[in-house]
Amino acid sequence: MKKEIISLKDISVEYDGITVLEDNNFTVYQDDFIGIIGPNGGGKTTLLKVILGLVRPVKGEISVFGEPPHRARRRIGYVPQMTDFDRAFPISVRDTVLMGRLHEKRLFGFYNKHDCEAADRALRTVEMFDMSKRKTGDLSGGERQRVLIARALVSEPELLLLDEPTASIDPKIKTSVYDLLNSLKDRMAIILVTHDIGVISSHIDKVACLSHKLFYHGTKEIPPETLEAVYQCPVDIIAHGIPHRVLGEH
Amino acid sequence: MIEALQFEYMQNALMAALLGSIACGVVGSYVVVKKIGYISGGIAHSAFGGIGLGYFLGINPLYCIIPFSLVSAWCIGLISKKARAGEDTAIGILWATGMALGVIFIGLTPGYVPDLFSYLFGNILTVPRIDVYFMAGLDIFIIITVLFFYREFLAICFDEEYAGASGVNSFFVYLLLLTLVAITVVMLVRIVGIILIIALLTIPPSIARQYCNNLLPMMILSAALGMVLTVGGLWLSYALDLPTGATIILLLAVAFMVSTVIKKLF
Repeated sequence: MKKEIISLKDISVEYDGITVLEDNNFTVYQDDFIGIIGPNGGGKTTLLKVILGLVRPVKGEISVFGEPPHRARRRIGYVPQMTDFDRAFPISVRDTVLMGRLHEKRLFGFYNKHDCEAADRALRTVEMFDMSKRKTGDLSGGERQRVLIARALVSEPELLLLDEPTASIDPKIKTSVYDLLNSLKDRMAIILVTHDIGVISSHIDKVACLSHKLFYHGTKEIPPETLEAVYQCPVDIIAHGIPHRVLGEH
Repeated sequence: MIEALQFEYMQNALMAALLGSIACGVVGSYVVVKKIGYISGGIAHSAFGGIGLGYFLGINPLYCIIPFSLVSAWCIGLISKKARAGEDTAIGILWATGMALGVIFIGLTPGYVPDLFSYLFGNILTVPRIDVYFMAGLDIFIIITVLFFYREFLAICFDEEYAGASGVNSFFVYLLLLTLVAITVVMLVRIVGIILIIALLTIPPSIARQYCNNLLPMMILSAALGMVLTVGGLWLSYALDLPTGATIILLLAVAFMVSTVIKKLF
């Protein structure tokens, strides 16, 4: 029996009276690699924040690793969407990654040797160790995304959440990010959010579809009627063989 | 200027410049990277209410600035995080309200109000020895706080939400940072006055940021730059017989322009 790590029951979230998520149920098992797609403003980021305990649902029950979400945080690696990244911010690659160890309590406000060793290990995993002294703002979009993934990995999480990890990086580098995630999927559960249907690649095992309501059956295929219901218009997806198949054979 | 150092007021001025630069380097670096220059300006200007209150009550205005700027820092912190719309408007209102309160208090104070100009634009030559000790104490408080919260401060400056997801109480750490800003404002009132504080707080770190890849070296470099430039400004104002606060600020501005041009060219 596979271990259940996330359980959402009848979760609703509102911002200023506007419903963002409505009565959603979602179960994730320990070796899942799930891609969540859906239109902008459909509540994808909010769903991740509910799992992280950053957003409190108005209704419903949630448990992450059998605990309330804010207690499970240290077992989760989070790669947020970095749209407003300040390139002039004076921080090295290594110090960026070290932020992933914030939850380790230290007497003084500095990291210790164990933290630094963990950061170096995470940087080697994403093949960015040689750049650890560089300024994070000087990196390319793809390199910076690897650094943010390293920051999420430095706490050796059992669950990795990624919010639009391939937005605003060019297609060639996108593939390398997916290769990286593929190499990690045996070590942890991964949930990946994107508004771009095209990026759901052959690596992802299961697809969920979210537009206020979550459509998820623990499978890779989504019926075209569901996609149309979610995007509220006919979605023209041509399934070109294996790599980008979202629709079933037809 | 060497011969002037035999006078106590000149020794005090020199020490005030050096001690103020330490606070500027450390706290100013956070102000620059977190982009809270406008918030810091609001805290500094609303401190004028404290100066007015000091005159009204007949006590040293510097001691009245402390509670005043702390309360305004916390109010601004609350507003900037909790009021969803119009953060900058709200800060502007507090900024002006603080100053208006100061003017009312001064208006209610009978008779002539001495030294008012020096609180607005600074006069480092009038710093008494007791204030120098007071500044040293505030410096120690700032440095100890930063030693304990270095990781948390860096994290909320870089990405507040991520810090929250990592179990940091972002709002508390943010208010603590604004508290340090308020304390620094109190220290700098004597040197450059509340109107010019924002330049002293942001220019040395902005120059340092152009040469640093990490926050800690940036703090050290901006403290050193602050020391050189404030003492340089003090010397210039002495040699040319100009107002000290304004001379220091102009020297800082020239240094910033020169550094920016050099960085662009090379």
